[in-house]
Amino acid sequence: MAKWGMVIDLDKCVGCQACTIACKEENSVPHGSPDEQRQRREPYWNRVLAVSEGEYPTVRVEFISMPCMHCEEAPCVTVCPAKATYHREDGIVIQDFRRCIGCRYCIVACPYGVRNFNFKDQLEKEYHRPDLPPNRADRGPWPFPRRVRGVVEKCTFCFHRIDKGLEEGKKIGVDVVPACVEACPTGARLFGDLEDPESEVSYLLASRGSFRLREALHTQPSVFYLHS
Amino acid sequence: MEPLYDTRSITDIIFEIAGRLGGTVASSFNGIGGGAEGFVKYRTGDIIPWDELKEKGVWLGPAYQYGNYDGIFNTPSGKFEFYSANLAGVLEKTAGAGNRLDCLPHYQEVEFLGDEGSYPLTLLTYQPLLNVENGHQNYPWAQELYMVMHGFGWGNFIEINKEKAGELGIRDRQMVWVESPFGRIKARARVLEGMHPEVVCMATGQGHYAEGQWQKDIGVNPNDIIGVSYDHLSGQSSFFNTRVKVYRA
Repeated sequence: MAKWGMVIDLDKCVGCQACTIACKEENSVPHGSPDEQRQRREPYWNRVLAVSEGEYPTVRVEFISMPCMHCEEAPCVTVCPAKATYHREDGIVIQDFRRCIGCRYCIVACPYGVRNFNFKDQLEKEYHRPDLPPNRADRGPWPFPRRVRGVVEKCTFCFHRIDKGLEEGKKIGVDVVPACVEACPTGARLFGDLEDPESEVSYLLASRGSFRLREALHTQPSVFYLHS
Repeated sequence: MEPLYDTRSITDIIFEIAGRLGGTVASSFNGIGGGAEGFVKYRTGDIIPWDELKEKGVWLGPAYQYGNYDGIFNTPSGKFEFYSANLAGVLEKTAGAGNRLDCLPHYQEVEFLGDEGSYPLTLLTYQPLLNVENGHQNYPWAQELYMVMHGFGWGNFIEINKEKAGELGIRDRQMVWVESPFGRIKARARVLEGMHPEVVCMATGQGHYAEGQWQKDIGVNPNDIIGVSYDHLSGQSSFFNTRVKVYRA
């Protein structure tokens, strides 16, 4: 069984936020408002943090792009009282929106802060695109028709793309990748099977120094960062 | 090819409008053809005959031959010039007897607007990533992460060096007035390590006057307080030489 993971090369990331916006487009995530941003309530399935270190004149800024880490020992899975979020066999931590009761315990439990609560209903014509570009038409509709107010959501490694790709027999990580990986202009993000020694991600992890965020909490995340 | 219905080409319409406006606008459109077809004839008249152009549809100049410097050197002496005779000619025609040494490569001291005593800091305006292709402020997804390097959106900041902010008594995210000899604007301060102590920085692109559903009342426009100044040798406008002072609101 494949185990999906993502490798993000911090050397190549320029902080353009293309991954953030591509994810929002692919999964129809609503935008926030100025008030929501002040209250830190705006939904982002992928965040890019600019971390600066050093004092003037030797200052360094690093961009750390954080999707859901899809941890093997995910704290959000353990604490959910309704068993709405669960760990799929192929490594993706996924959520059944119909079971979620909106208690937000998982948001408290997540050490990375990548989960978002839907405080509002999505507007009808949020992102109205009468002109679908040709390569979207064959992907079909996102399995969840409209987001519901009162549930928690997060990045899903675009499982709809992966499942459809596996059905059609395409190679995941090469032909079929999540939206953020596809959008990255510098090629800093890579997706693939961590258990396959021939995949690009395994090769990079073996040849370059990598780290994961908050390793000391033993959550075993599936997103690796390569040193810059 | 005949035009559809009652339409004319855009070039014809521009000529017509210029003529109706009169004055200096109309006079700058005089003698260059009077219409779409006339303009093309005027531009290509001495290069290729009109009938030949209609038949071929295109004019190709001669290919560049390597080493043929007579074709590309437009200097009066035909050689590479350190003392630019072209520039000297233009200066004599327009400015009279100027400083002849200006035509040599030289260092020109910057003329700041505002004196250093009252306005100690220099304002630098920059275009952040989402402004480069002109204005993504009306798209909510783009607006909410407008300041890409800071991870905030829905506004822009005046970015100050941390030590300087300490001297001025300004904390991060506090509202401050940015005043120049030409006006003042109120902005939110962002205290950073990555700024030069004598420079403050502000992103353009916010502070729209016109309505827009997502860009209304968001941010401030630093161009409101920048002075108008030109480089007297090249004629280009300079944007980065306004001095400002920053104080708490």
